[in-house]
Amino acid sequence: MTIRDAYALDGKLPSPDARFDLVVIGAGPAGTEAAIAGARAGKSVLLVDENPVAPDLMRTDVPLFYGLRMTGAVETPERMLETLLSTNPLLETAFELGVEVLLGTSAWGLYAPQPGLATLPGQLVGLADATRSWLIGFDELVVAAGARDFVLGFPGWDQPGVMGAMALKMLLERYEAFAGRRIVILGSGDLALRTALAALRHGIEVAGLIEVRACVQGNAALAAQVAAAGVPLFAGSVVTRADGGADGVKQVVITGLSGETSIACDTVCLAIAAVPAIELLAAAGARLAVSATRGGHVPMIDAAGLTSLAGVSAIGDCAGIVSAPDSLAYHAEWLAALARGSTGDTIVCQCESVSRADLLGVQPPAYLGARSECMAARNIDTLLADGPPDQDQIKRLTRAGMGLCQGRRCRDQVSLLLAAEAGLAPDAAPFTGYRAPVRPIPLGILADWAEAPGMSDGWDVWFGVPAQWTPYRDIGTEREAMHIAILGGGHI
Amino acid sequence: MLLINCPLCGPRAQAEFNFERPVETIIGVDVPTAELVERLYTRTNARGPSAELWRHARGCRAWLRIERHTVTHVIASVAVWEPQS
Amino acid sequence: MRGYSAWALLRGGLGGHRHWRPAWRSPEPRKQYDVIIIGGGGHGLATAYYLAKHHRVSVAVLERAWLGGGNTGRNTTIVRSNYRLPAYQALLEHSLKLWEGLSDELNYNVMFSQRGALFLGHSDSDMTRLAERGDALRCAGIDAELMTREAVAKLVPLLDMSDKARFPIAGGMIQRRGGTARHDAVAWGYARAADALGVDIIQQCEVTGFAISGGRVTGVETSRGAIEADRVGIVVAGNSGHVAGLAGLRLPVESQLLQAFVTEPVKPMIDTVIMSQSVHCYISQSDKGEIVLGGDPDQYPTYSQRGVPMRIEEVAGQAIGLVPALSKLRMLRSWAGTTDMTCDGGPIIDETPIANLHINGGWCYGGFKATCGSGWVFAEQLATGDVHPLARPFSLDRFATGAMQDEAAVGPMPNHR
Repeated sequence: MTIRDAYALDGKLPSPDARFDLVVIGAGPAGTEAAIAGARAGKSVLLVDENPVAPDLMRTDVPLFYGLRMTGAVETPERMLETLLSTNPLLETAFELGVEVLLGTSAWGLYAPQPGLATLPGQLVGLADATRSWLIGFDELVVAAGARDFVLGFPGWDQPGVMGAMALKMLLERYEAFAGRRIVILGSGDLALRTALAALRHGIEVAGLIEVRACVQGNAALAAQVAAAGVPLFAGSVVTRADGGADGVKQVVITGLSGETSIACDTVCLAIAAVPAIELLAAAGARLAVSATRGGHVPMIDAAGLTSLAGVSAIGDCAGIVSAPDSLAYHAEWLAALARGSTGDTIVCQCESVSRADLLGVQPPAYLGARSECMAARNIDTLLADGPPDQDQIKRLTRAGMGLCQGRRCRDQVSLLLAAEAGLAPDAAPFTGYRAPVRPIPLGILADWAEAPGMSDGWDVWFGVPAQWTPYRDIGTEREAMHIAILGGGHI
Repeated sequence: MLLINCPLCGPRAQAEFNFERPVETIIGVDVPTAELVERLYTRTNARGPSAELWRHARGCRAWLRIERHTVTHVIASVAVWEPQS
Repeated sequence: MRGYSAWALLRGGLGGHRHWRPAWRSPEPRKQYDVIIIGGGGHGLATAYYLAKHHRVSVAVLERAWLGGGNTGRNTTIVRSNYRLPAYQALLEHSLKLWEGLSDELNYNVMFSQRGALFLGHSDSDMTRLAERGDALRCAGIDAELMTREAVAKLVPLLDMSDKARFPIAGGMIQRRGGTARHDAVAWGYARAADALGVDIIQQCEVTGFAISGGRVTGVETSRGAIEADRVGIVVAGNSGHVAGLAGLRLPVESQLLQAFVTEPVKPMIDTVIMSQSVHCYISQSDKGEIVLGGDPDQYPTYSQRGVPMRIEEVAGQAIGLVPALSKLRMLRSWAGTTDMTCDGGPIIDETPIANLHINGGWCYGGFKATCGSGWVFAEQLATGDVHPLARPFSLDRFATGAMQDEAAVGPMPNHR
């Protein structure tokens, strides 16, 4: 009864490429264990991890603050894959249990049923590797994205060699590709102490820990180990600048009770804090909360780890990092001390060259060349007269956080600076949302070219070029050229 | 992106379908002018449930009546359009 | 709260900036104004500026959140006037002329860059349409140049001109006076200039209802109290239906979602605005070097604020189909805005059936380019009560009289364009 039109596109549109009972984002310890548990429970499981990250992304500090201190080893993807596998033995167990493991694959968007997206073809997560992007359906999804670096700026932080503790840990322990030899660590909490011990284990010299408060902040046993290794603690001190050359940092200058001290080093590691990596969950619309004891902005989760998105849970560091009750005040103290020790022209947003004075003066980016006295007549004070500071507004006006790294390096300090200037407590600091894609993905990879051959063949017919006047039965025969010649369209 | 369950073809991607208009704007030819204009052109533009006429334009070409929520996008029903409905 | 005292002392000391006078006064709302403008986006602020400049009336702009925070900041910043129908041509050309002098007018650099707006033609029928449109534009005194395939290839060498191109290019039409502007500078420039002329710009002030008696509006209810006014103008793109609904009005408007995208910054590679109406894709390069991409709205009514992944894939595919060199650029960011789509694609600039309640909305996805002209005509309307001649074709009753301004000629179907 029905005569099928060979060139009709109905039914040829792609659906999600595959479907798993359980998808786990992040193959750290928590994620790998969740994947293994899922496989043991008989589920079909997909485990993805964005590591090894492409070297050009690492150079723009995606997803961690690498500060260009990785060795040439990261340029060889095969070697990185081997290293990652050898440093995470659990992955082998996962393989054996039939978990599909995709490394070097990032999750750029999560689309779970909720108002606005309720009738997507099920729940979807957008994935991309070095060659393609695709959508995967799932019943359950576990985000185990870990933590990201909490970054505060100081004069000279915008040069190679200033990096984050999470990035250092990744380079030391999972990539075995850290290029530094002698490091100075900011902070003395558990994170800083563990970072120091890890560095020492890997034969890296630790020139000192800088602590803004009067005494060491972390666990006493850890502190004793660090002290026993002969690592000095500079308490009540703050970095006032990092000096360097073409290869980046050569020394840091710190100011404390006893005045100014210079410490030679090639790397400054920010270990003041790590914060939960919530970008995927935030972009998907999961409900968030601020918790000082869990490291700042965290997804709201129930006892089972479920977020406000149906079927989506968060585990490990991205669900919250155990922190001291005054952790947010501690962040703020660091910011205040670093700010007092530097001038307003200290860069806040490296990508867009926004200084602290530019940010709080709400100035348009300098490269536009559009500054004038009348443009100067705006600043954060005048905006505050109209209501609390809105990081999205400041972002649009100054472009802080809108550059290549999309605020990965500056979002926390922008938020804290706005809070400080507005007289808000750190836990009320404005928060900028995330939007998909949460990883920078090339257009050529995002592009939806995955179409059935039947669609590609009929493309010119649908698009309205001259071939549209050619009867279907003549397409692909010698009569096709005749139709085109007769009916116009000489331009192609 | 919606997944629309065409009663004739089964679940298909929304790209195969055209949204035509809200059902409220479908009128007969014998409606007085003032009412015609009001019903044809103005919209409730519902923020919530909405009854709409769609067409499976790149499929079976059937006209469909779809009950849909404009905020959550939940599709409550899809039926072949009956002019009297 | 340990540590917070040191924290509090920081205030005002971080920036090292001088103590500027505020850009505007942030006044408390008065009890009564001659004119109230609801909406502190580009159109509302432009209206306020021209009202204050040309007419001796007291004006307040009421903004629910912060200035320019709606669709003014959620677009692809394209400015052009090359429409097909005379009513659009007249209004948008007036707007374009205002754009050309806007930085001087406001003493504020709005960074209007006339880099040219190029429409691509993909087939013989596209070229016929572009030629016809170009003729109509030149008859109206507006610049338009039809370009051959070779001229397009020379202007934008990165376009895929090969035989196997996904979107074959047959030629184009360019408006060289078209271009892009900086969106926040437009809102701020108008706001500052309006404030200097005595306009009260009141932010964080949401309109919650209208005071109506005897079929006339006499004021508004707001989150900061009731305010009386002789005339009230609604200028709230994306929320027109909602705000008009507070006065019990129904509009010929459907809400649709439009997404846009931006890539990482690169060296200058595209020095004109590329548009394809057949593909429905816009490509331009920002001053920073980012490639800005716009696509089609979701073609059905929605109030969802979230984009869908398929649209990201689709726009990426369209962009690299036109300009393959974009393939390696990374997409950094996306945003979405709700547009008010009218039944003929034209705006609504008119007095509502409620006396003294005026509306300027329904700009579909083309409102940014009209900011200046829209403010200009609406200011006169709010000052005198009479619709400006340039705005008369965009009356509410055009749907009843049949005098629709339908560029795409598709009838009462806001989605079919």
